[in-house]
Amino acid sequence: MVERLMHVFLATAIVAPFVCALMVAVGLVLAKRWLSEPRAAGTIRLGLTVSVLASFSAIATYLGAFGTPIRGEIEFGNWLTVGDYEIPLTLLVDQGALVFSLLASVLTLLVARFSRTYLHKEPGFDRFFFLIGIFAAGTQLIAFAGALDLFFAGWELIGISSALFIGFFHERDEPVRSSVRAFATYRLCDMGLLIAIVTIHELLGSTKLSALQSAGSLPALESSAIAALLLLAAMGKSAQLPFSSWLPRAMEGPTPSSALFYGAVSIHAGLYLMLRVSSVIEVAPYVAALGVFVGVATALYASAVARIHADAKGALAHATLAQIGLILAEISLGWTTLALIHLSCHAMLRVYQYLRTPNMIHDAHTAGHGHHHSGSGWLAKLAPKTSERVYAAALHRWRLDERIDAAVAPALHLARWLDEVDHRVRRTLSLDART
Amino acid sequence: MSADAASIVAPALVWFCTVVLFVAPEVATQTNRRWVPVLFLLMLSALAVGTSHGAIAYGTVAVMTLLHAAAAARTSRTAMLSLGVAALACGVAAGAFWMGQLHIAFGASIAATALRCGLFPLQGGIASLCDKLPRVQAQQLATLPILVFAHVRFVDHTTLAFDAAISIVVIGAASMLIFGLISLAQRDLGGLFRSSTLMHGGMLFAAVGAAGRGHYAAALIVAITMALALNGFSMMLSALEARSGPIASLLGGGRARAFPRMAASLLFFGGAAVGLPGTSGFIADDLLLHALWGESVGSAVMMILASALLAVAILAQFSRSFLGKPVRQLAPDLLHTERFAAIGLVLLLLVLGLVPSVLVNPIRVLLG
Repeated sequence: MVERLMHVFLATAIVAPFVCALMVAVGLVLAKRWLSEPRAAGTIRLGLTVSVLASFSAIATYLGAFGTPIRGEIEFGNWLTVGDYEIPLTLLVDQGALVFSLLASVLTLLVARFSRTYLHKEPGFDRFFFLIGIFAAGTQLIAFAGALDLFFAGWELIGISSALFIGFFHERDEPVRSSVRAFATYRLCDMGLLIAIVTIHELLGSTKLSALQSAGSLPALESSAIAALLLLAAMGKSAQLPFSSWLPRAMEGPTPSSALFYGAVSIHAGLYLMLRVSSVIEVAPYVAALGVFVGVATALYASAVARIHADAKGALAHATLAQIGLILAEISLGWTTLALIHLSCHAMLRVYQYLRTPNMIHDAHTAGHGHHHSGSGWLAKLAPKTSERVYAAALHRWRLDERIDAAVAPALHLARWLDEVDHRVRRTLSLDART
Repeated sequence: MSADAASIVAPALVWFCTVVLFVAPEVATQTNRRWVPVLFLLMLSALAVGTSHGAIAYGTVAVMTLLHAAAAARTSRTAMLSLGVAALACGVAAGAFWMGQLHIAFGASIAATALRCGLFPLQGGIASLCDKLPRVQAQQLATLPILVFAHVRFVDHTTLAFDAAISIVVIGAASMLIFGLISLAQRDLGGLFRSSTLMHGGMLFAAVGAAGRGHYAAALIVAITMALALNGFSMMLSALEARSGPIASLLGGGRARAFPRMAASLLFFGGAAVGLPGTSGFIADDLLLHALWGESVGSAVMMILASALLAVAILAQFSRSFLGKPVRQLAPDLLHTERFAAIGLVLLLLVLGLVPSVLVNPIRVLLG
């Protein structure tokens, strides 16, 4: 009985926002006139409220409020079975899942409430709330996913909604360009997760998170390869070096979505992945060391850039990135409980700061509280030359964009050359051209 | 499910998907609907999937392919020749099956599949259809799952199919990667549609290769998903062309404000083609990935890379054509008939994505 209750709570937490988002979508496609602002926002907020309640209820069930505490894997059967291959519909209820689920659902609901007023009469109002619903379903899915296939489905939903939020103000060119750039980064780094999932299935026989406990039995090379692929995916989603350049560009989206995605939930999704697969990272010491290095390097880079950034949201984005880097380092060092606490507190603080950003600027202008860095910090005193160099490098963000563009350029050249070859082949073999 | 029930349910489901694939573009078309050839093709497709005799199935597929070739004849000789040769290959497969020469039937069937998928460097015919005759391409896409069904049902259980599987998978994956890369270089939606179709052709060919080692469900779900997503994409392009003129000469973006439903539908179909979760694209990619990984790890990586490249190309091209400073458009957004047609395809993609066992289980029971 209690187990059935847990089934219902978990399924509701994931499905409720998704169903409400579908209802808004159907309204948009079939009868846009019917879908007023209060209806669109109300429908999504209903889904989010139900999701929050379900999440709370799952915690109560986990703690034993309805009888025997229910913990561990909750089986819903298989999404698909073909021979010996299956996609298990397994959810995992543990501390980490419940904390992340509650954090994500509550923050999403708060941001949705805030956005109702913030985006009033904005042309993309309905679209915004539809995407919030899809995003909420994706975050609940990754929170409770007990198998990596399910995790990947939620991961992709977050990625797509994130890219569409960045390009929300699609009538300007810059948000659109930034959206494509962020999506390209996501998609290329997601290759790591996808390859890792298939490898795990082949080597461990299952993609369930519980199967990862036996990662230690794999040869060092294989476990390191899997860990490295998972780290790559986390680096893309959490904007770690060298993939950090999309984050400041992502600030082109509306402030509430910036708060939700790049302050609270989406930016932490990579870290959450690392927490879920920490048993694989533990048995791959070189990859763990790489994670520490990447995290610390990102923290240093982002701290330097945040100090000289001219716009409030950009500076906040880099400040966020610095903390994300530190949390990655904590996870890689095996301090997972500390990382989970750090992650939760950080998400809550950043949501508040992002939502306050427009007011901060207003306050600074009206009350005259604007502070400027004098450039005379400890580094300037200890090593003035180095300080100047760091300052200069931070000004152009270590030319990350240019470096990424240079790295991608050969692939684009190859694409253009192949396109030319394709044209030639078709021209040569075409009968139409001769007639 | 018993084998007897599966022998009825599996073909019926494949045929139902074909019906939706045939009917949706005709419903969406505002003028000059051609129901008679569609009904004739539907009857033939019912025969092709319903028969338990390989020679009849291949013979029927040959006739259908010949009809596609005839429809293409006036506008594109390249497409006509390509489809004509594919029809001939299907005819050879039917004859070989009749005489019990399964290896020849397998070879002819693979040749027909390669031509109809537009495998590199045989892409001329399909590319020409995409550029000049999207309606015929939609019809040939609708009958492509039937060819795949016949292939996995009748000729894919031979030792030759088993031995050739890895070569076919590698060729398909290479073609997929080539067109995935080419999609990045496209400057208009028409070019994107062409390269996306050809990239998916490579994917289907690889899936058919993997089917030689028992991955039948992967091959069929890839074929059906590909046809649904690409037909939806093509339908939206036709709708855009009817409102804004030839796609190849469309300049600038900013059409999302004027055509929001069209933009959303186009993005959905594009997403489904590259594995959007919740659609059958996700299941198809997942199944195929595991199938390819078992046969050739390099091919699986090529597939992942090609899919990622195409996803980026779709969003980039969509942004170029639909986003940006709004342009003034007097034409309306999707009409009711176009919306219903799109919803039919969307629903099928969602149902097969959320409850894939509806299709996969009968196929698994039927084909083993």
